[in-house]
Amino acid sequence: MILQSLSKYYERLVNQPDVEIPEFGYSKEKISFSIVLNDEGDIVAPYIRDRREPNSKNKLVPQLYIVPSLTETNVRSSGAVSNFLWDKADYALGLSSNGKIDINSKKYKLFQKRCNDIAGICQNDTGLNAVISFLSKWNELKAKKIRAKDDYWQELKKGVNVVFELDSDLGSLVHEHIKIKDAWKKYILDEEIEYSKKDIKTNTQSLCLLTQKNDAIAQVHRKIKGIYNMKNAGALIGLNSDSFLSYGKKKSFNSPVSIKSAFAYSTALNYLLDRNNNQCISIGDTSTVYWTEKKNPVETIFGQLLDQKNDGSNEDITKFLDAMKNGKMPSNIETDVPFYILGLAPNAARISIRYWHMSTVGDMAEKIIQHFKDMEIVKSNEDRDPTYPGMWKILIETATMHKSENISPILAGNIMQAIIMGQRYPESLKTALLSRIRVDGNVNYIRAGMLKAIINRKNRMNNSNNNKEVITMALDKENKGIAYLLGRLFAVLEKVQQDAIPGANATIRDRYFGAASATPKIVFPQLLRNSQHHLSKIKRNKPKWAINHDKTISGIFNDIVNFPAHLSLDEQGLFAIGYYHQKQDIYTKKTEAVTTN
Amino acid sequence: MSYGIKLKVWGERACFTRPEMKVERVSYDVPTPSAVRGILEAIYWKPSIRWQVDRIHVYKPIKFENIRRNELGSKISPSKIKTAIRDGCSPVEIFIEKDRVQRASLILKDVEYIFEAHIEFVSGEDNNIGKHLDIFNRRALKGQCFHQPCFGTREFPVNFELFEGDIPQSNIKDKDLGFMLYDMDFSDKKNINPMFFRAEIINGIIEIPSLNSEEVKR
Repeated sequence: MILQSLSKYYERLVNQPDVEIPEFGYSKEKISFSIVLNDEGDIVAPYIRDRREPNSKNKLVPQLYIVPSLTETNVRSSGAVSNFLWDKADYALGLSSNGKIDINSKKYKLFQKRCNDIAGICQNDTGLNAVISFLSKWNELKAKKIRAKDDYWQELKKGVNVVFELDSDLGSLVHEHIKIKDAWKKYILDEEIEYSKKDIKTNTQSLCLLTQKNDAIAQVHRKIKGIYNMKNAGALIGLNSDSFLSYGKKKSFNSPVSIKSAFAYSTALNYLLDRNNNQCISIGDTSTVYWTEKKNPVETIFGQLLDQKNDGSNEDITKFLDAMKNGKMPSNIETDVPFYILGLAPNAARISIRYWHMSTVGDMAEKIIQHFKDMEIVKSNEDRDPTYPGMWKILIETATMHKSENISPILAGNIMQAIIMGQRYPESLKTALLSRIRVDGNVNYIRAGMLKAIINRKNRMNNSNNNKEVITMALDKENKGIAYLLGRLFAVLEKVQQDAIPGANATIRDRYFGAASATPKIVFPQLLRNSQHHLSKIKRNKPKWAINHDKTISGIFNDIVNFPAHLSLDEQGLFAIGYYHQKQDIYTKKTEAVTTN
Repeated sequence: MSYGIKLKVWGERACFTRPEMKVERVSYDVPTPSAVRGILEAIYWKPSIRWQVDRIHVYKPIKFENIRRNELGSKISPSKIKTAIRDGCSPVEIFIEKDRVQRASLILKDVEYIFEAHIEFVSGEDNNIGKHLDIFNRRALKGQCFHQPCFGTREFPVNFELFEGDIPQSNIKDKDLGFMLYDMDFSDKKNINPMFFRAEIINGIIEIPSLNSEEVKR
């Protein structure tokens, strides 16, 4: 299904006018310069034109152009293979490593041969003829004259790509001429079929997995670029070791895909992985691409939701999510359209699939809303806490020292899966959050929200009728669970200490949070004893506060029978939530009290 | 030929590898007819019979899991084995330390199926359907098998049980699985090719076309 959906997506892209996607036989490559020729094949002013453009840091970078490409050129590991009408200077101009032109070099001759081969099929095209006569006339002498006049020569030595232009038609490149394109398409299909038969003695025609028709099968699949953390491009389907082969088949004949289909799916995947197209996000070490069968605004929203740069301030998304939460899907979105998500990660020189999910737009929207509903908790800061926090905000809270390189890659993938499939959140998420809380004693909006989501979802999945254990958004005075009550108690005791000793460097939170949540029986009696001292101190200065604190403490104590010796990991989560809820309650009351006073 | 068998199978993990994702394994959502055949053949098989799967009932929701395993990167070449046979002392070995390859797999978790299948005869001899069915039922009842049946790959063992009576309704959602591997075509030993068919889960059941029907594309 994966490859089939990608091929279908390719068909959709090809028919979309606003998308620049290469057709069969073409690919996008970085081009730096174009050589200007006249119709007779002489290099004329302005000789070499710069095709680079400045990037955001004002450095000139080569631009992507759609150029004719061969599958095996991407694999230029064994021997020289030449491209057609574009290539590095050592192929296109015979530029050798010492800076001089060598017209007898193997690469230059291959380049010439390629052009001549196409000229054989192409009906007379001035551009192609000009290039061919240029290549036959070109030599060191002519190059010297140009070198003196042109500064770009130094750049050419670095192995950048060049294309050709006619001075009679400045602006359009030779390889874009219609006659050349037609000839190339015929040529490349035959070349690819020939290449796939290389070294194979048996018949290379068989049933294609995707089209279900008998067709010429690709021996090697195109490389996929753009996967996060992958230095060199790798093929999605690549059998580069003996142990992967079966039934006597070699290379990609083990996974029979026809040449055209292989092109379609790999081009579609490369398009999706190109970050400029906004169809890909990195979650941990997985590059996740997503697409729908028809053009759909949910595609972009999905991406931004899970994007690193999303800080919850995007108005459109917030409006969209608010509407969905209330059950009103914006009318311009068709909910039945299939929605696909594919997670890819590098593994040695190959690409492995972390997850593959097929769903519909409506279902995806529902799952996302469910996730946010589960996470919803009272805010600690109305302005800074986002209502719909992005994935990265959650992941950062699990990382040591809030550093993104410390995020466990498997965790990110598992959370993604939990959200999009509506399953339980991974247990490792709870463990990570609790250990972070124990280390830095900080229970913030995101951590508390996430813990609430984990517990609520777990309970919902375990006993669908029995919803007694649901944790609410804000302080729940009816919740008699011992862990929750202890968390609340801890928050009050912390406040008591702060009121008694304002400006203390280390509160009980820093010293005792971990121990209190794990082994309450040992810690709480001590804390309560100390709090009595604090309360008597407060009574002296602010008797009203002391009375309020006393009331709250006894209110909580009403429901505590005894202190348990240990709290399980789940209960420690409830402890943290109780603590957070009570704290928010205290601080809102305080601000109310301050404003009324 | 109308007498079939019903077998209930379940297990913790399964991997029915997609042919296009062989290296970094990705499992199909449901068993391929070839994997089902493998399970049945592990319980009972003779050269005179061929198992034909009729239906697969899916009971548990389809869940995936990602695992990473260290595996060998190469195979022992036939020439090495021939040399060993000839001189009787050359080593036939590969050391994993020099040849480790890490492969990630996307496998199924917690599976349960009921298979319906029947026996077809390969040639004219031993055509006693009653006998074969009897033997199978007896063996399945006792839990007897030639080797432990597996879900696609050997590391995922199958727990099996003979099923009798009406097959319970499954509440798995309908799904179109696209083209799935049917089996390998072994008719030409020198050129073994895969066969495909269009699979759909309807009411929790996947109907498997027979080997020679036109739904099987080769």
